[in-house]
Amino acid sequence: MATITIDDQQYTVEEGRNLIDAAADLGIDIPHFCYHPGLAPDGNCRMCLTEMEIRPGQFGIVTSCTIRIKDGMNFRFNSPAVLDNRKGVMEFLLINHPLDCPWCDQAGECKLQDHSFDHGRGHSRFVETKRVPPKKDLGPHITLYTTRCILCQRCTRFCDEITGTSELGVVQMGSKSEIATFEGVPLDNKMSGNVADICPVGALVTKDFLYKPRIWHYEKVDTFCPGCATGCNTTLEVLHQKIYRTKPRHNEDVNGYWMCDEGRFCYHGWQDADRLKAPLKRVDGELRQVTWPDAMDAAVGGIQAVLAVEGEAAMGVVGSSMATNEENYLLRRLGAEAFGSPRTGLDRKPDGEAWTSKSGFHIDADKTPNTRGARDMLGAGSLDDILQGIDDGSIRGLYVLGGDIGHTLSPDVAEAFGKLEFLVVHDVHRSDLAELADVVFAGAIPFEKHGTMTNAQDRVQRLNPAFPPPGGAREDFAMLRYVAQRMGVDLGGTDPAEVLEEIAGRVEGYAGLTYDLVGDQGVMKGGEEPSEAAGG
Amino acid sequence: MAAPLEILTADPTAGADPGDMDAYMACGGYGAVRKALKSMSQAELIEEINASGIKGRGGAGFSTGMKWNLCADRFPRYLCANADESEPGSFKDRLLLESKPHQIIEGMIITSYALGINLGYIYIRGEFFQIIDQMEAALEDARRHGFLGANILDTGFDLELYVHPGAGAYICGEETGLIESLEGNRPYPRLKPPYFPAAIGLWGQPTIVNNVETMAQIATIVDMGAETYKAIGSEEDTTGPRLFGLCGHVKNPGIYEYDSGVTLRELIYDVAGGIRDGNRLKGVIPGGISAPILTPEEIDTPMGFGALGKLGSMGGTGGIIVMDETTSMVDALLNASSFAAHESCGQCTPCREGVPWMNDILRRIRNGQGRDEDLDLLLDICKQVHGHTVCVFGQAPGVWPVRTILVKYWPEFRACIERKELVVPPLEESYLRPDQYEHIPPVPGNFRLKTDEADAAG
Repeated sequence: MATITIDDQQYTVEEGRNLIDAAADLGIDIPHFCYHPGLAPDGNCRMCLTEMEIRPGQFGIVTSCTIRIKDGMNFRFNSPAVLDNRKGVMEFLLINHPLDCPWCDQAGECKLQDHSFDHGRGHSRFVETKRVPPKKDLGPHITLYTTRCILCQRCTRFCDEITGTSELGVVQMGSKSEIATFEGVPLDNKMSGNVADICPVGALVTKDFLYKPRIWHYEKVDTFCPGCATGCNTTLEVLHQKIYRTKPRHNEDVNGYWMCDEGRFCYHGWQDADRLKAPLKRVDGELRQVTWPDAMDAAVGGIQAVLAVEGEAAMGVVGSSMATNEENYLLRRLGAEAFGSPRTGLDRKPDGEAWTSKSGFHIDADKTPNTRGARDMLGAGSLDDILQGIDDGSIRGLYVLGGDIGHTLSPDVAEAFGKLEFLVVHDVHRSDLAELADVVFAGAIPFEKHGTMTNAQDRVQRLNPAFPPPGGAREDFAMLRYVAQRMGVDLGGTDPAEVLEEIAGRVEGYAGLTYDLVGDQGVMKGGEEPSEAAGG
Repeated sequence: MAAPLEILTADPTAGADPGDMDAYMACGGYGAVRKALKSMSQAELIEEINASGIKGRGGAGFSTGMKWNLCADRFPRYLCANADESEPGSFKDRLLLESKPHQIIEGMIITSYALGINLGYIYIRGEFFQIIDQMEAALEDARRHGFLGANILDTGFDLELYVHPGAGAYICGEETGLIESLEGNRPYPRLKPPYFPAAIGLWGQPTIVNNVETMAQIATIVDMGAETYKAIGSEEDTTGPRLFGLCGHVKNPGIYEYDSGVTLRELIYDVAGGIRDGNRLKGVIPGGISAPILTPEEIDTPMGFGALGKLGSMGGTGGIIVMDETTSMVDALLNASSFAAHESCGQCTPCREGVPWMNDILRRIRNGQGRDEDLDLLLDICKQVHGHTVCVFGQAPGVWPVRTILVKYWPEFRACIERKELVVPPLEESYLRPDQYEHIPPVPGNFRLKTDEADAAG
């Protein structure tokens, strides 16, 4: 720790931290544009200039973003020289900046607006003609409103330092400088959407979020991305039961400040899917929409029929890596206690492509969020055991959690499931799995659920719902409890937090975990720290 | 009247092609290299340069010995000879590059030997393509004669020198911009600190960036010995010969060699033959466009770094731009400002936005659309840019000409605005007298009107 002086007041801060971050820790905001904590400081915007005592009694102008705290440093944040410079930089940044805030997508979260309000002049002394460079289509996801750009170069540094792809650079000189791509080499990397997040103004925008409702209308939901087993922490922006945007949420141990494009835009696939809004029951060989009591009667009746004829253990359960730890745990208990069957399995979708950026940001090959957790909860069983059981006739019925819109059954699994006498499925759309079922419970997608999941690093993280499931669809958690209850078994905990406490007492590696402990940054299984920061 | 010197301007090949290495050697060329490598230790050489009192010839007048002494104790170290001459009004490096390629190479060999450098670059302005070819050939000759390569003169000292063509921007001459350019990047000057590439430079290693004239003079110092060299000029103004390039409205423009004690008046009226057409002097820029302008009342000054600094100007490159009474200072400043606006690299906000904005305002004034508030606005923009930029570009060619010309020729700008057209007032009414403005040290170009007098004069 180091003791420093700011405007004649002494503070204790972390040694070696840069001045902007150190001041932020103290609740003091040093305005800046080009500095971003996830990128190397560049010192080009000049907004963060403060005065530092260079020799005893003599103060000089320094860039706060490049100053590393040492004991005894003495700063002035509010001297006339500092305030005049901020006013000057604001004026310079605004003279050529269009006043198109009313239709700029950044309005409301724009640093230029915020700092202009705090440090600007309030009137313009500029009577010349503004520069109007043309708008540019930089790549599949990103458009550059060149007029709005303040050339802070966060985006070019991102492509240099984080992705290592260096698609963006500056062309021309001086006031004609523009962010640009090389001809024929668009901004098309796995993380391109981040440049829109880190752009302090409305210059870089995602095409996805163009001309959408104003940002202050959204409800913000902190959760994590279900796109792969990394589980990047995110904030969803939600309005009228619809997600409009996903932004990465800082978690140094998981995703740093970033997320991949696949994860960023994956909410569309879920949100636009043709969802089941009521349960289905097979009638005369066809699945028909029925009421919940009807579906529940059919499910319980079918299960009891299998158990009555074939005996206990004739029913198996198959969990899902799209389902939460709590759901998979309840499923296992349902099987063990209501069906009397220890037989569990997990139907995994084949791995996709893994990718690690220059900075270490990792996209996992496992394109589901909770394979680790589902395995932990389901115990020793495997899908092979289940298939074997179906083959040898010892398993006659299955209770399967589906819920992955991107997953199709492999032919051998589909064939095996087709042989079953009775199949209950939780799913979110009419998947090929649902088409084989006798009863389909309309479930929830990850954006509609409470609960925890365990990522590929063994980090347990909390999922929070953006909105409730549509129509008559229900959270899978509740349905599992209800089925058990109908079969005379009380599964205990009435919400995921209570179930997690039960898990903590019973599942290896989860000891001591509580919902509060998991918090919004997650916690490692077994309370271990991650072996290395994957943040990038 | 100071006496002309013939040291740097001496013919090194006795009439032969300057690139002719045999002719150069026949006239004693590479003697300095032999002397340094064969008879002097590294410490003795560094001491010799320190003792010579030479100030770097790039423009800032920074002590060369001190720069060398700042070299961090790490290896490898690199040498960059800065031949990106692009300061408007300056053409002395070009003369040296054309007439004395081997003397420059000599200086670079000696410098490298003194500082334990084994790799050096000559960064030559891209537009000097002929010079680039000549220098390549000269390096090849030197290599063939064993002055470059491994084990030079059997001393065990290895050195390679390469030519690097400049990327066509003024900012490539800023020493950290030059280093970035050498590394293959946009020539954005680096953030300070570290203040000196001698600590962290090319590829992160200690790097000496010296002007090519400085390099040539290093050979001269070794040749004549520090004691003799030191007797030329003065410690405060810089020792050794200086090259002054006179251009503009003088009768005999050209490069002239004097010590730094020669006065501006002598250079204009005696050396360069006075003003064209018998006109009277209106203003003179003493060392390239960044060097703050001097009015006719201020030309009885020695041309040393120290003496010009006291007037709020600077020695600069020695490129002297003379303007006679027919010159519109509004036009002249617009010209200087257009250069700065064009050459601002665009890295940092105040320079990228402020410098072109001043250019826009000046163009408007020149076109008869100036507003009463424009001059104060210009001075205010100067204040907002000054000292707030990554490198010194924002202030040197960006702010200093505007602030100085505006303040000193305030009445002419006022007249332009009031009459809504470009006017060149009679000489006496166009500029302020030295008691009507003041310089606030230590920075050059930091001039302020003594307001009441200015208004009265305007």
